[in-house]
Amino acid sequence: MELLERYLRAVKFFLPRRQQDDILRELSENILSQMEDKAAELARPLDESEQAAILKQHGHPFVVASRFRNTPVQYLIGPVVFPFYWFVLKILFWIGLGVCALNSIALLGSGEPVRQLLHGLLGFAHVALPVFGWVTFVFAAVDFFQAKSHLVDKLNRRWDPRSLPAIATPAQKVRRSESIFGLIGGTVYVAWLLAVPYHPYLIFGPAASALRLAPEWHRFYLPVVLLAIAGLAQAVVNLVRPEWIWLPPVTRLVSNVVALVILRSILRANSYEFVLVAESANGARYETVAHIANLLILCALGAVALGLSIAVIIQAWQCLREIRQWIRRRGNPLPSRIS
Amino acid sequence: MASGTSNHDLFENLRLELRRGSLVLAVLAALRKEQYGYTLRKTLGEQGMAIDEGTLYPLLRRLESQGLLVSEWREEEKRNKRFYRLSADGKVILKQLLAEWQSINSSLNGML
Repeated sequence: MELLERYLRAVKFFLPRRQQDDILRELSENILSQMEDKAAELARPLDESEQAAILKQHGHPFVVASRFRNTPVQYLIGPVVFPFYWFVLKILFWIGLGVCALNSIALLGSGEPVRQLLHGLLGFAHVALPVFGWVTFVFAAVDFFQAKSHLVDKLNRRWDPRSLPAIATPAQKVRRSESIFGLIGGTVYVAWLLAVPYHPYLIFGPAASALRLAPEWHRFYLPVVLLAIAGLAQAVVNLVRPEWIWLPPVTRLVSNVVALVILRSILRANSYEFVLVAESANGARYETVAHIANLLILCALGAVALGLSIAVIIQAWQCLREIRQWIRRRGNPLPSRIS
Repeated sequence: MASGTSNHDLFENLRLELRRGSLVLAVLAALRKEQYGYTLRKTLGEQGMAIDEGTLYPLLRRLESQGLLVSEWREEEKRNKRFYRLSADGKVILKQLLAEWQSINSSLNGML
């Protein structure tokens, strides 16, 4: 019975200390009874392979021991909180991957695209893993406290079906008011952009005589004007063709991608002097103003770049959804109430 | 072929789920007469309620910790064995469970 002893010792290792002896005594008795029965049936003692077959039938020591553990099923994040946790993880993953992809695309012209791509992917893993770890920690804590405070039970008691949000009917057309507003806003913006080179007052206000834009801006002026015209064109087209609901998200997506490329070029120029003091100005007062303006513009550009990166990911997803709905509606004129 | 295997697995899972509740009832019913683990398993198998060791022995301990069974170590055939039997609370619960089972059974019979 050496095999049985070895088996019991292995089971013991995985058992809770307090119950070890009790469980092993009982398990040992039951297995011995089974072996005796089998031996009686065969009218001879069992050989090692027959004993092994009986032990194998009982299961691996780890599995056997786990069945004796009385601990309830344990979750790090339970089924109530898990959908929210999974949703946040997915959003963060796609945002991170999107930023990484945009970065890699922008670096393709750097001369070492493969190295830069690998560097970008490693950078993503380096940032993503701790972020996922912290998100998991936060949601585990949320789950723990909601379980402790019986939050779900309380919500369930207070819940009223009438508080459920109404079903939004998918838009069939771009609203006329939206297109008109876009047209007016776009026209004012384009007019402002076209007037700025001749009237610096429109940017600098009273300081227009003392400050001027750095020459770097001239490189980006035309693309920025073209972007503004593209927005204007979209509003005009949707005024004529309101059923083209896919056009606004597509225009926004393309504009934001182009804007990101422009921003990247601005930030990579490494000349963080966006505003200069005009030669005619005198006095250190304007140097300080220009310095503060440069700092603010740099921060604003960084924030806009981050915002645009997030927007591009979300808009890419919305864009796909709109195009899919549009195609579906063309094939089937009856819109689905719930999609 | 894959679908056949998947259907078989699905059936097996559902069958086990269906039997899980009935096994408690069968164990409680069988322990109206005192038995130790191995003989109980044999009895259940002979009655068509086969149960594997890995399920039965932990189940006995759980039912005992819930106060439905009582156990006693006693010598039999020169070896110490742990005998289980239904407790007073176990008898009450068994009666209630049997009534519930009969109710489910008659409802199902009405539907099928």
